[in-house]
Amino acid sequence: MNERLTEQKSIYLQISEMIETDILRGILLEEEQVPSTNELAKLYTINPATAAKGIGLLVDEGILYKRRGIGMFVAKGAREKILAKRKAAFAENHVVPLLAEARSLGISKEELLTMIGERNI
Amino acid sequence: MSLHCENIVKTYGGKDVLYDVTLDLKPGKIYGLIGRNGAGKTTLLSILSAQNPATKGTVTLDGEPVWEHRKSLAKICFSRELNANAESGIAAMKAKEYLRIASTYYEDWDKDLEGRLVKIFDLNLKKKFGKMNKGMLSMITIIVALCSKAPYTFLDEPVAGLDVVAREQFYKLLLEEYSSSGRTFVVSTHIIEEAADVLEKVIILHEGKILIEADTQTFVDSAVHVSGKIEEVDAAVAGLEVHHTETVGRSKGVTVFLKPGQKVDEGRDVSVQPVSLQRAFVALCGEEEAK
Amino acid sequence: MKRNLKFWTRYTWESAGVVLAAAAVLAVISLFSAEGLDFATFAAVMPYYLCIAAIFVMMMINSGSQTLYVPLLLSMGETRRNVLLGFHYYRLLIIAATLALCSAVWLLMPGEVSSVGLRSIPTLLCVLLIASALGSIMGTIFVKWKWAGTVLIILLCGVAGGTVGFAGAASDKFLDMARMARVLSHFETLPWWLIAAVPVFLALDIAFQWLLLRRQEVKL
Repeated sequence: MNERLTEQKSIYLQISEMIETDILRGILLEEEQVPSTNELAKLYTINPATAAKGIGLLVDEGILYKRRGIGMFVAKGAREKILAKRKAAFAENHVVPLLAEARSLGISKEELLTMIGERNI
Repeated sequence: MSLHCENIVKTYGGKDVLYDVTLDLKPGKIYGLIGRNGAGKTTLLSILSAQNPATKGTVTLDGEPVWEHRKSLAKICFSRELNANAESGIAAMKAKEYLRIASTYYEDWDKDLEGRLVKIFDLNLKKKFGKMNKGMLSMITIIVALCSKAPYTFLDEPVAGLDVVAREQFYKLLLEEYSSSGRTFVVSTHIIEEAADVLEKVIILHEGKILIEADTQTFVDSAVHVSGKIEEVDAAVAGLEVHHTETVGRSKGVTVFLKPGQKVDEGRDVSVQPVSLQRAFVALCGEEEAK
Repeated sequence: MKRNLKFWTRYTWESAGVVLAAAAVLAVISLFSAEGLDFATFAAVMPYYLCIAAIFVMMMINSGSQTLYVPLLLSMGETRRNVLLGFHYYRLLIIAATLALCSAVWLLMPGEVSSVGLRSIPTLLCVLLIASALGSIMGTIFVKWKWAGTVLIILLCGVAGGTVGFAGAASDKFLDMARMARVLSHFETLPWWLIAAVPVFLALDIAFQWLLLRRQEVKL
């Protein structure tokens, strides 16, 4: 929750990604309360509506859920959901740009695969 | 439920300062009023709060007129910028007296908050306005705005004299007050970048006219910067609303405002980058200089 | 309206302090220039100093504060109508307080001068009302045309200075109770033109002030 905001992406997307990352890293645990909209607003100096939009996104995906009168909580199985989602987006977010850059530099598929093969995950 | 102004015209000495402004301020939002110097921001806020008469047009709060209507006026606070130069009568006034009068006139004045803010800003209230620097004067206007508890509160360039730490402090205090009270704030500023994330709505005033009134996020998302080889850029943005063209040799950069459903042609070899509120504003209102 | 009254009442007491201070200055001046002072006479003359001081405050201090407080109150969401009413409420209050204090002194210090004083109250009321109207007309001019207001205020300072000088010189000669009473008895008669002048000046003042206030732009 302590990453800085950048200008390259909409703020509400950054808010929801930060919460996801905290869940993946075990900073926020399942069935644990997440910071309120107002707390997020004050922490990042952003409009509460923006923070609410970021949280709303995670509620729609079933990663967070609302307990009436108390606040937002991390849903059971949230970590798996986020992992699955990020894996699904991995190709689009990372492989496609990698290939585009390789193409404009004239790197062949074989060279690329060798580069990857040389490294450990 | 809203503060509404319709077809506002303001003329000073034959010159139109505001030209047919119609605006609807909804309760429970933070609006940013942005515009260049002389765009008419202060005049608009003065008219909305009945501090200045409009040449034409009406202002209403929840359907009732604001002009000479104490019931409506009591719900509006326009904390003006204090100009304490030697000429103004207010230079000889002590901050303490000003706050006392404000606390008399605003029905729901928050005395505790006043004390807290004076402590946070480390102000000496025994000082006369004439002896205060611009930062201190800004702090006084901020205190009046926040403590007034008025459902509609306007701040005119509240951060103009503040250093970067105090500016951050101000935005946090504003958000805190906003979250706990749900009041409507209109903040005019030309230091846009820091304010951008705080403002839910943005109103761009340019040469006395409202150019944009939108959700800040929606507006910022609708603007993109497209750059690359001149021909590629031209082809990619054909048919779109293009502003702020800059050309260097064979390369060209433009800011494009996309209408719902529009897209930059992705088949072209161009870079498409998001744009900040400030860049979008400059693209819209700074064109004369670019040409 | 409650807030409005609260503000102007407080402002009246602040001005009353200035009135008392100015009256004290006048009294000290006359004390120094007088020989063989008789306390009863001095006390009975005091209310006149008080009236002069009230006129001084209403004509000079007020025009300055008018330029300050009128826009200030408008900026805090007061209606123009209430600002006008509040200002006139203040004027009536300060005049009433001044005359009440005068009467109290005269009632407590019976004597020839005092009984003349008590009979002069209607005249003093008229003079004070006219002075306050003049003062606020000047304030209004000051708001609109700063230079004209400044010239007027300088002129008035001259007149006020002259009055103080005259009062000092006069007290030297007239300190005996009988003669003092004779001079002051001129105030007992209330000429018709003075009565007629009151509504004229008040109407002029209110009309003038309203015309300006109606379209006034707030600048702080």
